[in-house]
Amino acid sequence: MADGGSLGPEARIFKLVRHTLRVSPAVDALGADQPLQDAGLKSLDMVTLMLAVEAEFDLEIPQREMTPENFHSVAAIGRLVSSLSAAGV
Amino acid sequence: MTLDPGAARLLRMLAAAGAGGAAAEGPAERRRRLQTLARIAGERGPASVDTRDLQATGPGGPLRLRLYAPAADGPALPRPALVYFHGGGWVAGDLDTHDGLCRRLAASSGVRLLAVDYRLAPEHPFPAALDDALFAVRWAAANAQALDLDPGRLGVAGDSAGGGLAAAVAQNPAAPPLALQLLLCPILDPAAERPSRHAFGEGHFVERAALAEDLGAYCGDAVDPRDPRVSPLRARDLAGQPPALVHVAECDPFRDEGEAYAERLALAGVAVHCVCWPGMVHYFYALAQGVPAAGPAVDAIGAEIARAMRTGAVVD
Repeated sequence: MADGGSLGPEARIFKLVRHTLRVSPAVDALGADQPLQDAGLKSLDMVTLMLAVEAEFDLEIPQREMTPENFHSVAAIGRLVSSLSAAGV
Repeated sequence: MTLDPGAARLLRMLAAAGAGGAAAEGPAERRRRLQTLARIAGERGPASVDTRDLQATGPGGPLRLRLYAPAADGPALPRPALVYFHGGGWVAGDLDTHDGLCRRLAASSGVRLLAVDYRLAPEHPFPAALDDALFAVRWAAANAQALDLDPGRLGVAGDSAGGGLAAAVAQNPAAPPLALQLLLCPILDPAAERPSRHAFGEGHFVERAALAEDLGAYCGDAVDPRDPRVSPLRARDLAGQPPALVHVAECDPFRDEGEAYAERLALAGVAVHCVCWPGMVHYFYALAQGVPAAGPAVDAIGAEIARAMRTGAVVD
């Protein structure tokens, strides 16, 4: 796994979302379980985020895990990252 | 039919993100999406290609162009050149979305490219894009010396909707003599529903609904989409057209019209070389970050351009 410093997965994912949205105030008000669309993420932002998650955590998301559910919220992405990391993907 | 693994993965990501290409997004969002896609999945192209941004006074006012000169280009030597029209459904795309592709084509072919920032619909419906495209080719021929281009080896090229523009320019009697036309996954008969439109009309990068919206934006009430200036495949006579390199993708809704055009050109006695890339999707050639096999494919296309410009022949 890439060096993420002392930040936990969710904090790192929040950082990625902020980067994807180019620092939108909506992200700061976003809860970990809230739909990312609520923060204004559009469809291709989601693809950008998927690629960013792969790069940040140095993993390749299997096609079967590329589902709207797994990218629904920061918490969902965090769970996906944890399970993939545990599985050594 | 098996999708290329890179293409399959990208399509899967787009589908999971709900980016299947929903219509009714409006032109601004369409343009932003293509720009985003270019950034995250696009071909970056070699930095060794020199570029120069130019401006001409076109039929609709200032027209931006970008000249790509491969590194091996000697000084003041007239070079073969292709005037390039980007894709994007007549609505989206610009010099930057296709910058990496143009760089790679220039580097792999040794040929200069002149990319054209033609006017887009719906702000500028038909015939604005075609007028700009034709103007750009005539401008390139008229300024060949200043641009270090060989006017005797000037061609047109384009992808997707830009491929249709390239073919329409080649058919236009006002175009200068052209040595080559390169058509990448061209849209050549947008109003017709050939079998590939049905097979790959959803979930394969260009959605049926998005095409309908784009075509409506381009044609408006100004022109019947079956007009050969919009649908070059419907031109009555293709004799005398410039030699053609036609590249289609197997899993592309526009595959059949590209192949049909190549067949019609050949029947009309035109030298034509047509390649169908197995497992590939529309626009693959510009997506080398997302579809790794696209890079070598573009290099192979570049080698074909080089040979065609060197020998005048597109077939072995």
